Amino acid sequence: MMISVLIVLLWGVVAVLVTYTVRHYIFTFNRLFGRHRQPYVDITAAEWPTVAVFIPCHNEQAVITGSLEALLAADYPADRLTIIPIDDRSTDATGDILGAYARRYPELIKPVFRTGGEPGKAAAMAEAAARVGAEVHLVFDADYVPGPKLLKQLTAPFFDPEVGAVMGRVVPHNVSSNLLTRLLDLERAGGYQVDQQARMNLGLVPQYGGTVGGVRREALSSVGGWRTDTLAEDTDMTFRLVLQGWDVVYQNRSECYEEVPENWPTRIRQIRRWTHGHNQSLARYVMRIISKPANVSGLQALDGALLLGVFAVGPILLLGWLLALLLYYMGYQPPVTILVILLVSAFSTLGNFAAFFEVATATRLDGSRNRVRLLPFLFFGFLVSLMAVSQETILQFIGRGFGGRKIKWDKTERYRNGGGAP
Amino acid sequence: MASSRTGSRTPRELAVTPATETGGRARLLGELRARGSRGGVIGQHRAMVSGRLTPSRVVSMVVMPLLLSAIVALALRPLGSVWRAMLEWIVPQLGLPGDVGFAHVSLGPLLDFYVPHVSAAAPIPGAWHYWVVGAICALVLALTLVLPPRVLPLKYFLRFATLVQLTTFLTFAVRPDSFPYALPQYSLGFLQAGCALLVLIPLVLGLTYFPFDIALWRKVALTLMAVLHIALLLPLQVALHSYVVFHLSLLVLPTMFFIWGLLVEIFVFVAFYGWGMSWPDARLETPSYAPDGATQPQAAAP
Repeated sequence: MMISVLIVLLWGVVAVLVTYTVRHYIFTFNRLFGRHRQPYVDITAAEWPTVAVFIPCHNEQAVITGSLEALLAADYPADRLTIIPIDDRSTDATGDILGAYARRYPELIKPVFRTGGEPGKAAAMAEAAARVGAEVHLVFDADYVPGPKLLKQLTAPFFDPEVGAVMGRVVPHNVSSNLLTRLLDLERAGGYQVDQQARMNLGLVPQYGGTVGGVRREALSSVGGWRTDTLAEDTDMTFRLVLQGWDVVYQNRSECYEEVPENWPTRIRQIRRWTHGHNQSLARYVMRIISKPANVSGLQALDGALLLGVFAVGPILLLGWLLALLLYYMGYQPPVTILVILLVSAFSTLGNFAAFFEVATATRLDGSRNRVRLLPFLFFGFLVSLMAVSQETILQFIGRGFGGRKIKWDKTERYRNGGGAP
Repeated sequence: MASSRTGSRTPRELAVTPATETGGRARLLGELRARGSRGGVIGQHRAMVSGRLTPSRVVSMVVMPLLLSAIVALALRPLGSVWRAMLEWIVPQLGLPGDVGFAHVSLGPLLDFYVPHVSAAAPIPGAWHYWVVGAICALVLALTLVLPPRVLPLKYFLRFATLVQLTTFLTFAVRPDSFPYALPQYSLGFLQAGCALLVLIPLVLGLTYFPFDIALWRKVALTLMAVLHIALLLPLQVALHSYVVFHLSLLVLPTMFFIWGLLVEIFVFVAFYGWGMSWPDARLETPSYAPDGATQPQAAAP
C-alpha cells in the first residue's frame, strides 16, 4: 500500500517534469525554426509618444552616472522625453549625483527624492508613476546602460493600441569576470533568446521583466497601478495586464546591458527574492489564469500557469528525488526489462537534457561559440538555484506564508567603479 | 589575391556580370546585400538569426541517428566481450575475489547480447564500516565549512552527496538485514543501463545536435566520440564502484548509484555536446564570398 502511494506520487512528479521538458523542447524548436514575430522593430520614424524613463535607485553611486549618460545620449525627441531617477533614501552619494544632473539638465532630468513611505522598487515606482503624465513609462535598473536606439525600439510597440507592456532583452556585460558570471550569461541567453522569443512567436505570455521595458500609462491605470506588496512587481504586472486583455510583447532586438552577480551569496539572495515574488504571483493569479477569462486564449492560460509555476518545479524535483530514494530503499524495482531501463534512461537523458539544449541553442544563436563549452558546469549552477529556490518556496508554503516577508530594498551588489557628479 | 573572383570587383561590375559566369545573379545580389565596408560581410543580428530546416537536414536528423543507434545496438555484443575482457583484467588487479560473470540480455533475435558483471559479494556493514564511512562524511562536511564562497556549488554538491549517504545510515539503522541490493546485481544493472544510454546517445543528438548547420562528418564524429568515451568509461566506473563497495560495504552502494552513477555519464555527455556546439557552421567553412581580409558573419544560421 505504502509503495503504491509513493509510486503514484512519483508518477505525479514525473508528469510535472515531463510537461516542463516538453515545453523546453517546443520553445527551443520554435525559436530555431519557427516564424519570428518582431513586428515593431523596423519603426524608426514616427510621431513618437511622450515617454518617462524611470530609474529606481537605492545607493547606486557606483553605476547611476553610466546609466544617466547613456540615456542622455539616447536617440529620442528631447521634448517628448523625461528621465526620472527615483532616489529612495540612499545613504551614499546617489542623491548628490542626481541633484547635479538635474541642475545641468533641468528640462530632461527630474529626479524624485523619497524620504518616507514604503521602501522598495515597487513602492518607489508606484509613487513616482502617479505623478507623471507621459503616455509610456519605461523602466531601467540603475546599473543598465541603454544604447542610443533602445528608447525608440521599446516605445515602437506601443503604436499597437492593444499592447500594454513591452520587454527588451537583458544581456550581462560583466560576463568575463568569473565562472559564475559566465554561467549566468548562458542562463540569461536561454531565457531571453529562446524562451521569451518563442513565447512571442507563439502568441503566449512573454514576461515583462521590470527593467528594459515599459508599460502604457493607460494600461497601468486600468489595472490599478503598481502593487507595492510584492517582491516581483514585474511578474505581478504581467499577469494583471494579461488578465485584463492587454498584450505583453517581447523585443529580442532591443538589448540592454546589466551587471550580473559576481559572487554566489549575492546570486542566492537574488534567486530567493525572485522566488518569493514569483510565488506570490503564483498564489494570486494561477486560478484566475487557469479559469481562462474571455480575453485569454487556452494556450496563453496554459503557458501562463506554467510560467507562474516555474519556481515551484525546484521543490517538486526534490520531492521526486526523495520519493525515488524511499522506493529504492524499500526495494521497489520496476519490472527489469531492457525496455524499462531504456525508458528510464531516455527520460533521464532527454528530460534532464532539455534545459541544456535550450541554453546551447541560445548561445549558438548568439554566436558565442567558445562560451558554450562551459555547458556541463551549468549542473552546478542549477544545483545552487535548486536549493535556493526550494528553500524559499518551502518556507513560503509551510513557513512564513506568501506575504510575510518584509518588503525592503534587497539590493544586488554592484561591481562597476564608482561614478560621480557631471 | 582574393579568395574568390567576385571579391575584387565593384558592386556595379558584379550586378552586370553575366549569370552564367558567376552562377546566378540572384546569388550575387544576395551576396551584395550582405556586403559591408571594405569587402566585409554583414552578419545578421543575433536577434534575427534562426535555423534552416531543409528537407536534407530533416532526413539527416532522422536517418543518420537511427542508423548510428542501430550500429551501436548491434555493437553491444562485441562491446560486452570487450567489457568482459577489461573487467577480467581489472578485477584481479584491484584484489577483488570471484570471477567476472556474464549475463544474457535478449530483445528478440536482433538484439541479443551478454553483459558482464562483478561476482564479488560486498559485505553487510559492520561497526568498522560505520566508523570509516561516518568519518569520511564528517571530513567532507568539515571540508564544506572551510571551502571558500567562490566554490559554493562544490560545497552544495558535497553536502548533497553526504545527505544521501546519511539516508543510507538511517536505512541500515532501521532495517539492518533487509537491504535489497547486492554488488553483482548492481554492477550488472549499471552496465545494462549503460547499454541503454549508449543506444540513446545518437537519438538524443539527432534531436538536439543534428538540427544545426554543422558539417555532417562533425555530427557523426561527435556521436561516435561520445559513445566510445562512455563505452570505455562504464566498465572502469563499475570496477571502481565495486572496489569501493567491496571495501566499505553495502553502506555506500546507494551513494555510488545516485551520486556517482549515471549522473557522471550525463555530465560527460553534456560536456561533449557543449564542445560540439562550439564547432563552426558548415557554411562558414566553404564561403561562397570571402575576399581577402573579409570578416566572416558573426552570427550565421545555427
